[in-house]
Formats: sequence, structure tokens, C-alpha cells
Amino acid sequence: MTLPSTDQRATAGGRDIAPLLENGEGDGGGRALAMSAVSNGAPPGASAALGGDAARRLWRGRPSTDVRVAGAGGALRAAAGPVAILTAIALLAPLLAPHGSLEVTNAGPFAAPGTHALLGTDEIGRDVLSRVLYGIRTSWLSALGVIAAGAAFGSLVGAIAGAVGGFVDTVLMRLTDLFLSLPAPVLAIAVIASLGPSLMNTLLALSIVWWPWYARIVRGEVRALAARPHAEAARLAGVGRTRIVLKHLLPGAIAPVVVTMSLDVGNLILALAGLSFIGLGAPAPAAELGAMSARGLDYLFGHPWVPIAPAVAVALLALAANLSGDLINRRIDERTNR
Amino acid sequence: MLALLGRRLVALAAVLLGLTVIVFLLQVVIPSDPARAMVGASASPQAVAAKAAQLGYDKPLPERFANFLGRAATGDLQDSLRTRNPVADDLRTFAPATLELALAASVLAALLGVGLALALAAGGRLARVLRLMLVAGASVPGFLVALVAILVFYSGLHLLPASGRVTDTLVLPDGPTQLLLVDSLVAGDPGVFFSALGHLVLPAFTLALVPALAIARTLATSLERVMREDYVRTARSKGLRERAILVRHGLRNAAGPALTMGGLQFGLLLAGIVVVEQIFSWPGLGLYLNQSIAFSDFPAITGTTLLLGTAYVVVNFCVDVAQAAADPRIRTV
Amino acid sequence: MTRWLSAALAVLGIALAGCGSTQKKGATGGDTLRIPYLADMSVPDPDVFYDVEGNAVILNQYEGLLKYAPDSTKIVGSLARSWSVSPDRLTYTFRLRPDVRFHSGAPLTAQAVKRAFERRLDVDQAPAYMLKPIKSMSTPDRLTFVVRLKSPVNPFEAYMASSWGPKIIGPDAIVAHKGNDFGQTWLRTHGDGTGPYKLTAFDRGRQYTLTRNDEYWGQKANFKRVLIKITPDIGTQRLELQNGDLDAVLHSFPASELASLPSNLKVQRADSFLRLLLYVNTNKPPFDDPAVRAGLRSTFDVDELVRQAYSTTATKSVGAYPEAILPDQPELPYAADPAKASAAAAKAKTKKITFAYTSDESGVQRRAGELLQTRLKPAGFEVTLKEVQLPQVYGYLKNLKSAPDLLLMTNTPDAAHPDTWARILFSSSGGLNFLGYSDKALDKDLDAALDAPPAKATALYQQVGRRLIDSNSLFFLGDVKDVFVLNNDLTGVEHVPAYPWTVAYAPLKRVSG
Repeated sequence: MTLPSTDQRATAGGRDIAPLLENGEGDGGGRALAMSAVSNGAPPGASAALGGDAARRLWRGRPSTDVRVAGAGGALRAAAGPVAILTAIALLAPLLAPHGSLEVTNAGPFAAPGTHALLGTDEIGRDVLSRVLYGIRTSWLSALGVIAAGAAFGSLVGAIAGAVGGFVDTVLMRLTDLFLSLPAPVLAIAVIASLGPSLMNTLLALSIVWWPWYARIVRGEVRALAARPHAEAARLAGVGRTRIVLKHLLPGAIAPVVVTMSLDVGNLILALAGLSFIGLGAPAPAAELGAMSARGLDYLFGHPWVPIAPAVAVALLALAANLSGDLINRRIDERTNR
Repeated sequence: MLALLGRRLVALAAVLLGLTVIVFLLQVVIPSDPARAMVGASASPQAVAAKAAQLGYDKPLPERFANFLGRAATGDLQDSLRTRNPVADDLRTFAPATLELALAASVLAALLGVGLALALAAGGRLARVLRLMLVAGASVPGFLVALVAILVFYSGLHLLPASGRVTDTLVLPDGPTQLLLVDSLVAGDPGVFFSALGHLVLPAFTLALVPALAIARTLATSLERVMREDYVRTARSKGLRERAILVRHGLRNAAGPALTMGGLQFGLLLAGIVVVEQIFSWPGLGLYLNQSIAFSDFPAITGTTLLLGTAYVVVNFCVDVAQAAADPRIRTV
Repeated sequence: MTRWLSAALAVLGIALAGCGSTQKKGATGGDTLRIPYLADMSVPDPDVFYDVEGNAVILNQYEGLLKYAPDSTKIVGSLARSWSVSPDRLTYTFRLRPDVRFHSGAPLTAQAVKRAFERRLDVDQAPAYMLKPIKSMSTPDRLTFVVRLKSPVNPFEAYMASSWGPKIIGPDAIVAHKGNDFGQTWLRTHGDGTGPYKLTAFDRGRQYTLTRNDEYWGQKANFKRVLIKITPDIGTQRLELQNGDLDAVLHSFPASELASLPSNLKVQRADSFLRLLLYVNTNKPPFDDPAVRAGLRSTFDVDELVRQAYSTTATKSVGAYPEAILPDQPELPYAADPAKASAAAAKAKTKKITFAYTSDESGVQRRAGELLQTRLKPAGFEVTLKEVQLPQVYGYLKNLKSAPDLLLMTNTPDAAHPDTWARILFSSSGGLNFLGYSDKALDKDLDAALDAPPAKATALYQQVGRRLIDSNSLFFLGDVKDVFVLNNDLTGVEHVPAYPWTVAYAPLKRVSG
């Protein structure tokens, strides 16, 4: 390659983050996000790449001429509506659902969708609509929980590594590398297969493999920002190290973290559903979308609403999450590029 | 270059050791009685104890781990509680099917990914629609894709088979690779070749869909950036057609990130196989893992995890090295 | 760029069409029978195998000295043409069929039978227990095999006819491929039996091929070949059956879907001894209190449970033993009575209980578990439902205090004899007595029944059954049927209740038209 392939890889000033994002110190890009492969249903790498893009453009303040792609912006903005609705559903599920998630209704088992039960009843006679609503609540809140935990822990590790530097940096980053290099999806399956399926174990396994990527993003941001004039000025002015990190460095790292988080939610929802599908999620009788769908598959031909309603709910949930992720990504992008 | 290779090899060893420790710890935390499960319900307590001793379950943990590690290093992964075969032998039986599926899915993902990326980068109304379709496609759970594929192409159109690796009555060539597509060509057996190809389509497509979308998005993003570059403007001013520029300059310069993504995605395929092999009755490692989980067959779970994990780490190691070889700037990182 | 995409799609389309053309609709027909399995069997070695999935592979390939007649619990000769028992019930003399050859070509002799028995004892895996009572074996002539027992064992004939009973394995495994593990390695992928089919290929994870034994001594098989295909998804199985790529699904078909089958398929049900059981943990609160346990009798509506979980594929249990294996059994006193249930539960020391059920492919146990949970709740219990796997269940005995309070699973006796049910389930040291219920008097009765004269033994088994029912430590809920879903053109299903999930392949045939 003789042509300078744009400056998509970092030039000297960019130091760590760009190569980390694009070529990786080998193990970068999206591996922590890789869990979605379990669900076989999401492009984890894609979100990493987009997150990476945004992150890079953010701190470099590169003007964007990206007009064509933004064309879909109207549609994306429209996605904010469904997300708001889904969040409301998740929070208000107990109020919205006509029945309890475990309650056996009078309609009896396998009642077809109709006026008694909008989405029919399942093999026990529980209301499918109510269970789907509770399932949305579980999936949505679990995904947010895992991401929040992963981002918080990862950011902490990354911030410490980036701010302290030296030996601590090396140790923490090697540890992060180790976790990034582990085959996260396979490992999560092994963790749950061994500990036994339960919602807690599943969330635990996902959290274990979900934090390292955030550590790398934050560490890269902190290191890059620390080299900038305003941080330098603060240091010369005698501001304490912790204060510099909190006041000057961490805020700068928040944007790429938020971008990555927003793009991750969809993946996590699919990862949860995928694990549940192979029997490694919340055990019966919990209303969990992947599990409901997998268990309902036996009734696919005679009573199709039992497996299809939760499967469609998973898809809609992930779609809303992905669209909103794109939207947030683009908003932050536009703002910083203005 | 050599130094990088060396460092990466050390890292590789460290990661594999870490993996081994985790996987070993997992199999000891769970309360179960594999010895009892093996000798059966009617066995005497003595028989159970003898089996436990034979399997080494009566030893203290560190000793068990040392034994485990020593044996794993020599390729001995203990015997499966279910199949009674050495796990290493079982893995050899099941790995080729998975390898064939993963390779086919990778090729398909690359082709689809590049095709979609070019369409995206070309812009226009199609790109806008495609972009939405990518996001939508990325939101569909894998099992739903598989089921719809079976319902449409097998049950509805009678175009493709729904299960297995090859038509059940065919006599399979015992070739060197155990990959049916390769072995049947070597043996000059078009019947097996086309049957194997037909059986590959649905599972490979299901597996490839996600990586293809990921590659497409990455590649499209880099392509768009490349197309704004000065030298592209120069090429334009020289009167080159947009499509020619896109292919000649764009692809070449935007390939790097997509390649990394491709490497990562190959590793990720390995996890997707559990669901895909289950639904398509594909006789590979995913099926083996699933059967082993249902039986709490820890040696088998451990062995499969180690093999898939190693494959994952090694593939990405290769991608790293290839990238470093292609781009001198990375070596210094 | 649209051109690129359409070109790519066109190529894909051509490839699809090309591959598709090799796939004809409905591969079945002709002289091959296709049957799916949900999972691999453990090993096709009769001296190691002790599961249910895979039974048919063993029983169509190997034969024992005795067997059960179709649809009954009557023991008839198999490889033994006739047999006799000495008055002291210590000596069994089997006279073998003269015209039998192993798949490897060697003739069946008393010596071969003795070798096969010895191998089972040498291998010493789960099913070896049936031969442990043997004191000595002898072969007075080429076709006479004599077994002497240490003490009378009433179920010994039943052992000989059991699904997991001693099978006569030929010299190919025992002599030619003995190796250093009594031929176990070889028998993991090969076979040498005397049955109507021989194992000609064992591709784990993919399919097992059974080929007709044209030298078979009895009624020869109709199908030239049987392919057992590993198809882990029951939905895929159903679609392939519907499309004619499979001939029959012989177990685990979802009961609720039987009503919606297309017209080219038919359903047959047959009695089996598989039973749905609810174990109660009597070693810790709340169910260490007999009064609280007794309340469970009034908690469940067994009729409703069986109907909802199994629809037409199971019936309510009527006794402690499968109905067919013991006459005049004491009745089960279970009747739903919410008031009584609540009153008993009110005495419970703790209301929080764990309810475990074993995972099964068709999910029917989960469904039954969920139904039972919905009944325990109004009675006042706070139930945590948990899916477990068999090895974990075996681990409960190690620490009964942390074991679940209730355990739901299905079990089947090894043979159609009350001892093969009571000994593993009811006795203190029983292998399937997972939650460690112990009653010394019951154990004594069981041991007494083992060598008692038949009439006395029957009375003892009835007494044992009554004691167990009264203990409320084990609830007998349903008798599960074997359900076969077949293509309309397939006839000749022959089934033995003591051989679960198993159909004799030889009599199956396709009627054209």
C-alpha cells in the first residue's frame, strides 16, 4: 500500500486509541461485545466499529462530510419513540399486564389469541401477552444492568490505568487484554453450564466478559486527553492528579463510553435471548423471552402464538435498541463535528 | 516482526493458561456426582467410590488441577462421561463438521459483507434502505432466522434440506481433510459434493448473516472516509468513474479494518454454532457441547471449551500477524 | 453498485437452485427406514448401556436368553428355546436354540453365553448387578447353559428378560477385539449380536446404520436398512416427518401437538412402565413433618395435572407399582382438597421450598412442574422452581439438607417385576432413592420378598407399597405412554411395555398405496 490510507490509523498524537480500535493491539475491537455471537443475532463488531468511529472523531474534532449516510436520520429519530415506549413498558409491566407472569388464567391452556387473551395463552394457561410484557421488562432491565455494571467497572479500571500510568497501567491493561482475548461467548456458556442456569448466573457471566472493552476505551481517552494542552495547563497550574482526572479527563471519555453503551444494548438483549434459547438463561417458570420462545417451539405448529410472540418481542426490542444506538451515535457525532 | 511474533506467542500461552484455570474451576464448583452417574443407579457404594478414585475425583484440588494440566498438555482431555471415549477422540470426530461450516460461513460472510458495503458506499436510495435493513437484520435473534429459513426453503419450497451434513444414504469418502466438500472433490464424487453443498447453505447462511452485516458496516464506514480523500478527488478530476474509483482505490484502502473485523467474526462464529448446529442437526462441536451440557459431562464441556477457545485465540493471532506483516506501522505499537 | 449486488444474488440463486435439484421431496420410501433420535445414545455396548435413548439400537441388534412377549409382561424364550428352574429356585437351566449364528458368523453355543455373562461381570458397569447373585455357571453340553445362584432371587427371570438384562454378545467383540478392556473400545462403534439387525455404521452425532441380518433365525426384517438420525430439534423432526424425510418419530413428540398432525401421519399409543414421580425430601423442614407431608395428598389434582401436562399420552397412576407388574395393589389416596392442603401447609416450619425437576427433551416435566407449582402456591408455599440434570440429582445424597424439598422426574423399572421397581426406589440404599427416604422395616420386607415363595413375596410387595404410600415420601402421579407418530403407510408396530421408547424394527413394513 503506497497511498496513505487516510489517517484512519492514529498518527503520533493519537497514540493508543486508534490502532486499538481498528487494528487492535490485536485483541481490541469489539471482542468484549462479542457475546452477541451466542445469540448469533447481532453484529457486535459493527457496534464497536461505529463506537470507535465516533470516539475517534470526537477527540480529533474531525469535520464530517458524511451527508449521505445521515440521510436515514429521519427514520432513526423516529426510533426514539419506540425506545421510550419500550422503556415505559419495562418499567410499568406489572401495571400494564392484564395478568401476573405466573398466573394461570381462566382461559385454560392453549387458548387462541382473542378477546380473552390478546396473544392467547400458553401450555399452562398463562396469558402470553402478560408474560411477554414481563419478559420485555426482564430483558430490558437486565441488559441495562449488565451494561451499566460493565461500563462502570471498565471505566474505573481504564481511568486508573490511564491516569496513573507506568507499572499500574501495564498490569491493568495486560489483565484487560487477557480478558479481551478469552473467547467470551464460549466462556459464558461454560460458566453458566457449570454454575447452573439462573438469571443471576447468566447476568454474572455476561458482566464478567463485558467490561474489558470499556476499560480500553476509557484508558485510551484518558491518555490522549492527558497529552492535550488544557490538561497540561491544569497540571502546570498545580491542580491535583485526581482532580485533573475527574474534571478534565474523565468527562472527555464519557461520550465514547455512552456511544458504545448505546450500541451494546441490542447485542445484550440478543445475547440473553440466545443463552436462554439453549437453556442457559432464567429457568422456568420465569417470563424470559428467549426461554419462552425456545420452550414454546414444541408447540410451533399447533399453537404458533406461544413461541412466536416472545421471539417477535426480542426482535422488536433489539431493533429499537439498535436504532436508538445509531441515533445516539449520530447525535454525538454531529455535535462534536459541528 | 519476530519480536512481535514472540510477544504475541507468550500472550497466547498466557491466555490459554487463563482459560484452562477458569474452565477447570468451573467443573469443581458444581455439586454433582459424575462417578455415580457413570456406574449407574444400582451400583454399590464401593463401585461408586472405586469409579471416583479411578477418575481422580477423590484427590485434593491442586493435585487435580496439576493432573488436569499435565494431561491437557499432552492432548489427554480425560474420558467423556457419556460417550466413554477419550474427549480428544470425540473432538476429532466432531471438529471437521464445524470447521467446514465455519469456513463456508466465513466465505459467505465475506462475499455478502463486501457486496453490501459497496452497495452502501455507492449511496442513493438503495443505500438508505439497505442501512435500515442492516440495523433490522442485526436485531433478529439467530434462532428465528434459522427457523424461518427452514420453514421457507425446506418446508415451503422444498429447495434445501433442513438437517444433517449430507444425504443419509450416500457413502462418504474417507478423505484426508474430513471436510466433505474437499474430500468429495479429491475422491471425484460429485454426488457427495453437491449434497454436502446443499446441506451447507441454510446453516452457513444463518451463521454468516451476522458477521456479514458487521463487515458491511465497518467496510462501508471506511469506504466513505476513503472516498473523501484528496487522492480520490484527484482521481475524480482525472475523469475516472465513481464505481471504478470505489473499487480501485476505495476497497484497497478501506480493507484493513474490515479484515480485522472478519478475523474477529470468525472467532465469533464458533459461539454461534451451538444454536445453529442444534437447529440444523449439524454433527459438529456445538451439537457435542449441547449434548454434554445436558448430561453435565464436564470433561467434554471442558475439552470443547478449550478447543473452541484455542481456535478463537489462534485465529485472531493470525489476523494480527497478517495485519502487522501488511502494515509496518503496527509493528511499533 | 446495484449491478454488483444483483450479480452476487444471481450467483447465490443459481447455487441454491443447483444444490436444491439434488434434494428430492421425501427421501423416504423403498427399503430404508428413517427414525430420528433427539440425542446420541451413550454407547451401543449392552454391558455398559443403561439409559433409555438408544434402547432400540441395543434390542434390535442383540438378544438375551429370555424376553417379554409383545404388549405383555409374560416372559418367553428368546435365545433359550426352553428353560427350567429347580424346586429350590437356585438352579436355572437354559436350553439354547440350535440354529442361531452371530453377525460375525460364529454359532451360538452355551460356551458363548457363558463368555457373554462373564464379560458383563468383568466390565462391571451399571447393568452388571443383575448377574451378581450368580454363584457358578456351567455348560454341560453345547446347547445347555446352567446358572446356579447363591440364594433364591425371585426377579432373576425378569433380569434375563430385562431391557438392560444380559445380552449375548458374540466372539467378535469378546475374543477377537478383546483388547485390554474386554472389547469395550471396539463395542463403542461396532456390534456382534444375534438379532434381526446388525450395526454397520456408528457415526456419532450424525446417524447409526442398522442393516438387515439375512441369516436371522426368526422372522426376518422387512426393511433392508434402518437409519437412526440424530436430529436434536423436535420441530425439525416433525417437519421432516411431515415432508416424508423421516418415517416415524418414536418418542418425545409433544403431546399437545398430536391433535394438529397433518393427515399423512398417524399416532399410536402403547403402555409403558415409565412413571411420573414426585420425591419428597423427608430429611429437612418443612417435609420432615409427616403431617405437612400428608397435606400434599390434598394439594394436587392429579387428574388435571396428567391431562394438562400429557393430554392423551399418560394416565393417572393407580398404585405404588405399575399396574401390570403387581396384582391387587393398595389404592393411592390422593384427592384435591384446598382447605385440607392449606391447613397442613399452615403447620409447616418454613413456607419457602425448592422444587426441582429433571430436564427432558420434550419439556413435559417442566410443564408438570409448573403446574404443580401453581397448586402449591394457593396452599401457602413459596416455591422456587429449578431445572436439574441427572448427575446433579445423584449428588443430592451427599448433602440432603441442601437438596431440594420436592423433586419431579420420571423413572422406569428395569423389568416387569415389583422388585426391580421397589428395590431401586423405595429401599434406603436404592439407587433411585434420590432424596434418601429410609424405612428399616420396609427394607426388611423387601429383602424377605427376594427369596420368599411367590405368593408370600406378592403379599410382601403389596405391604411395602402400602407402607410407602403411607409415608408420603414419594408420590405416584402418572403412567406415561409410549407415543409413536408414523407415516400412514407404516404398519407392524410391536412394543413391549418393559422396553421404553423401543419398537421392534423387524416387523415394521410399508404398505403401498
